[in-house]
Amino acid sequence: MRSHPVTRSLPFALIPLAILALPALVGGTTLSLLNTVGLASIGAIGLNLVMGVAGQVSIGNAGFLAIGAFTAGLLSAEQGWPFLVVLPIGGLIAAVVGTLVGAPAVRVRGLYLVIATLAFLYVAIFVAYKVQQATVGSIGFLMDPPTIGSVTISTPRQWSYLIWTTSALIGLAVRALVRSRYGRAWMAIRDSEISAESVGISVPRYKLLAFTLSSAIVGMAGVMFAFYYQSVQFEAFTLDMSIQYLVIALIGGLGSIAGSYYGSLFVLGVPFLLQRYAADVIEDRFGFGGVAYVQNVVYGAFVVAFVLFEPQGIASVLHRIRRAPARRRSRRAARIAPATSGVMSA
Amino acid sequence: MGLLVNSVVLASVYALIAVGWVVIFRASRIPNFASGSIILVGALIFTSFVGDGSGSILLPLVLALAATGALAALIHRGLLTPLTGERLWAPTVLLFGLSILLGALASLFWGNQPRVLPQPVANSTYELPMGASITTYGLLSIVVTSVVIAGLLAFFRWSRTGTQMRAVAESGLLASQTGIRINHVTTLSWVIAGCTSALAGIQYGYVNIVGQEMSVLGLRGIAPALIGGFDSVKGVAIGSLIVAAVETYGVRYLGGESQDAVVFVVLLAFLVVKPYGLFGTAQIRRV
Repeated sequence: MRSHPVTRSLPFALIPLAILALPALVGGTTLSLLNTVGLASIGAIGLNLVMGVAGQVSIGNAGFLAIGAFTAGLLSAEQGWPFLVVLPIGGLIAAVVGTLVGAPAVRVRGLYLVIATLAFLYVAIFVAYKVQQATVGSIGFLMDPPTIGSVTISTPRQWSYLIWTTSALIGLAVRALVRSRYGRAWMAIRDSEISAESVGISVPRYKLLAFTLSSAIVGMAGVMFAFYYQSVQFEAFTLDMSIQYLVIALIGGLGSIAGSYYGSLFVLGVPFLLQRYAADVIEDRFGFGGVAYVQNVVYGAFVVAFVLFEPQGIASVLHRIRRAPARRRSRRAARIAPATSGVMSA
Repeated sequence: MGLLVNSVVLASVYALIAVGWVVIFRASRIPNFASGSIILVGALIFTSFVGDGSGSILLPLVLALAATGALAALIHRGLLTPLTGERLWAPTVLLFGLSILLGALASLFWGNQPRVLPQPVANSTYELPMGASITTYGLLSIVVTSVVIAGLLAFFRWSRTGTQMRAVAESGLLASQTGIRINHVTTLSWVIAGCTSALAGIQYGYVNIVGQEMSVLGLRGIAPALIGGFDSVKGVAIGSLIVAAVETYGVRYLGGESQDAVVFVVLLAFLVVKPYGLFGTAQIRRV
């Protein structure tokens, strides 16, 4: 069952339309949710590249976000450099650090990589603390709104256009990369390092490349973070933040770029809905401040449930739903002509 | 000298946490990232059983260890057994999620106020030579940990079950061929880890307080476990002493914010120089 090229590329034509239309239709807290979802999706795509495509678990994401954000703080808040210059520089610095961290880390496997990235995270947070102390002190860097050409990005709606355009461009670029020979090499490594090696793929080199690219993307997300929240403080970058990205990548669907968007929407949207529609009920039952705990209970329970029951994430659930009519048709066809059923369902 | 004594007391808590990591990792190759929340829940269960501290602490202690051991067994049987054979990310993400879930449930059930444990014996300070001193509970913490570690070493060395556990750690497949029930042995290792984690939480609670901050203790078990070799119980003792000393002196000379960073720098150095730790088994990979 192969769909027509035109119908297959149709969703991509809708992306610019959606980016233009959605922010115009919603407002208030829904719009800021949309913005944070877009911001999270950039970092999630970066993590998905290294974790979902190349199969390497990293919990250093918050560290690379911190590198991007602090680059923005030092260059923009302190030196007045423009956003469009700081964005690639933040990505570049994160990429360099990512390569330095990754070089020894890609030689170790599995758990050792997880622990190496955890160690990197703590060191990055400490360095960020030291940098902040030496420059601006406990208030952190205060950022001016970014200016692109003659436009100053200050309203939530303008932010939405900027965030989602960036996110869509990065998403499409990574999607193209995943479908190239690089993507195939990464997936071969993910599925079996030994067989990847035996067909001539340089495992450490490709792992390192995935790690570097991922760090660059997450670093750029960090720059966006800094400008969006208009402040940079080392306390914002925690292990919980890294875990949230792991969870987004997983719940959305490991290895699926679209999944990074589903995951961001789910992980940020569920607590948002709880806050909006259930806060009264929860506070009646558990007292003031109970909402945060209930949000975490729901969040944790979803993580456990997804790993156990839907390890391929929302992307795979949606895929099943989309394919359901076709499957029913092929089952019916199989009942009529059992001999060809194997071919039909293959 | 005073710092050295402090770091030995700290090491006695870390050693129990790290033993939990090692015992589980040996049996199932799973990093227990929910360790911190198990420590917290174990200590909170103990505070509930102890109440105002009028009775003996022996029964509450046994009940808290049993309850935490049962919780750990439940985690293994209910959540991790279905993931057997999955890639590393599956148990990693699941245990991080579980950790958030347990921490939040603990806050809903026990509230968010830190709890001070009632002291069954008076906490006095003993002067040591060279200007150092140690409190009764610091001393007790060291004694309890030493006994537990020695007991575990003896258990693994001489008991039948302990030998089976070592066999599973060495090769699950070969062990299963001789009729060892791997799943039972692995669950048992989770029970042991649950008990040592609860004990670590209780010891920490007596030296400091019982509160949400304890959930970070779990990850502090990684460095001692890894420096010791990740699959070696005796390595844990040395690893904990090294880590606690690094941490205590780091905080003293670089400030409190460096607590985790200095330890993980030392850990990174070990990863580069001695990736299988001081007493760990080197894993040889053939292509």
